[in-house]
Amino acid sequence: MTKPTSAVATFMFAIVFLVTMGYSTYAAEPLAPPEGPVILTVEGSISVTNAGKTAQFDRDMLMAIGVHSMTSSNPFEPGIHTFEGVLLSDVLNRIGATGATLTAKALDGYEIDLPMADPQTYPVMLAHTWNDKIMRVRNKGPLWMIYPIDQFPELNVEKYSSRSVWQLISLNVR
Amino acid sequence: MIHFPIHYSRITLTAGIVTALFLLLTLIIGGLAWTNQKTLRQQNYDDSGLATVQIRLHFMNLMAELKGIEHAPNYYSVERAVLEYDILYERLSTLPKRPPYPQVLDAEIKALLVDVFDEIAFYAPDFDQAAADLGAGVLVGLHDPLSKLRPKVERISSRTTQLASTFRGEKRERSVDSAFWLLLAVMGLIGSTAVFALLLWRSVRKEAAHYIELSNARDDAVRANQAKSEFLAHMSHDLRTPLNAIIGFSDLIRHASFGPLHDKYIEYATDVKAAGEQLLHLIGELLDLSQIEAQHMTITPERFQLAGLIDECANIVDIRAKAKQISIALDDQTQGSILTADIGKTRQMVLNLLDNALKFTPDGGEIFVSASHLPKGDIGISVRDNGQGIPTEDLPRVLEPFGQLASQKASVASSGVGLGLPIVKAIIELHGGRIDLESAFGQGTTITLVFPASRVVYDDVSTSISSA
Repeated sequence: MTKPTSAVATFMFAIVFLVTMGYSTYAAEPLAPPEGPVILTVEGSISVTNAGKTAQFDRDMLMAIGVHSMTSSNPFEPGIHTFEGVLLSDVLNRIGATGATLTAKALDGYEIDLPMADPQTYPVMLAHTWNDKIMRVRNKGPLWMIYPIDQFPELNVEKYSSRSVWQLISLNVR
Repeated sequence: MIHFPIHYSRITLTAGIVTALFLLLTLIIGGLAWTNQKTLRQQNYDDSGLATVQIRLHFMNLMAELKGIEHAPNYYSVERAVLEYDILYERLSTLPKRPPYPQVLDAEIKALLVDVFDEIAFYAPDFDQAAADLGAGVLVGLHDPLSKLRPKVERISSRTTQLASTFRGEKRERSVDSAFWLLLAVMGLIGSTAVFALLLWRSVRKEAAHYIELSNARDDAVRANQAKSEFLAHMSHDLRTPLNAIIGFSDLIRHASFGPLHDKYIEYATDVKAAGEQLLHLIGELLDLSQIEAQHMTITPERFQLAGLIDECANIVDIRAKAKQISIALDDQTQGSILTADIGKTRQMVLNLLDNALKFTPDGGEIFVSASHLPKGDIGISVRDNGQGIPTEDLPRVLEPFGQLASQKASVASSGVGLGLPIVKAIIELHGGRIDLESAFGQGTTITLVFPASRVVYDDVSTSISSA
């Protein structure tokens, strides 16, 4: 003898429970410590860590998240280029990042803030190969944040170009 | 359509054209400025020469690390040196092609950059090895040869900063220029629009004043005409009263009712009566006309047979026709059709046409009266004479009040002031019909009264009231 209202409430609770469970199971999946050289360190408001309060990635760990490829022009280099790498949003999801702002830091000390909305709205890529070559530091590596400016022409403005960090080494989630 | 003085509309037109030109100019300059803005926003321009300052900075860092390694080799310094080398390498290789440096750099700096990059790249294998084993060995001794590049690196940095500043200045100048021209065009547009609007407003105001003037004049004319019609109506009434006495008493005298009179008196009394009756007829026409003009005339339709009416009218004028030896021929083709019309006024119209025909037909001539079916079910009553006819250019005038032709007045010794046909026209139009005039000078005149189909009733001849 179940009242309809309580049936609905039970159902909704089940949904919420399952979603929360699903999310937390995914977010809680532990991250193994890196075996090779660390190419990306993420710190700040994240729920999955593998080195103190930070999440560190070597190249293989990043690849495991899911490799995508993109062909696009670029504000810094003439011509059309092919990039391969992981989506920034996938990386952030993998480590349960929550926050409004990301601070991206480069090897030479360059630092810039970008809103979390960027990776949520656009397929922003952390590229690790450029025209089929793995990017070394001498060639803007190890990671280059690429905005899809051909697919979304509104991104082809200085505001986004300045967020397209090369020689990227760390992210701070706030 | 009201026309303005020519010079006035020409000025307005000129102002309109100038406004349109300024609008076009504003649109063109605005479009260019917009495109320019868009380009500026799109490009990721480091137009300050910062990248060359960074090259110098990383070069100095590299030198410091190499120097440190030579003094006290350590793992950390080697790692730092490799990183600084890689960054320097990347910067040097990227700078010449990174926008806007291809535009900023001059030939000297471009050559220097190639030169320095080649020198730096020469040591790449050493730094690769250092990175692999993180040993200081290969890096020892690199400081001195590399430090020879220092003047070139400093030259690149200082000169590029200067060139970038000039480049920035030119860009700003272009932007200021385009803003200036845009401002100028917009001001011109505003000015000419204001002038145009003012002129237009004045034109419209003038037009409105002119319109009011015209409509006042028309109202005055209408009022004056109404006053005239009312005057005519009253006068006609007042004139008829004494005329009745004149006609009545001259008739008494003519019949010598109170005893014998000299023949001369009887003859004069007859003349007085004839003149009185003619005057009465004229006054009647004036009264009709004034009623028509005041739109007071009405018709009282009833059914009657057309053939009977035409016979009756022909009989009335028969005596006068015979006096002039004019023959009247009748031809009714309407098969006893019945009209729904004002019988009295229809009789008046037919008599009027017959009177006219008699008036303008020479002695011994012929008048032809016919009734016939016309297209669309209309019925026409035609009166044709073989008088002198009316010149084509005068046809419209004979239907206007007092429009009797000067030529006719001169050549025909007859009475009438030219009120007959206008009255006929008004009456037939009250019936929803029309009057047709056909005439050629010297070939007689045919006037046709056209009754519309709506006033025609077809009736069997046997049941008609023609024999009444």
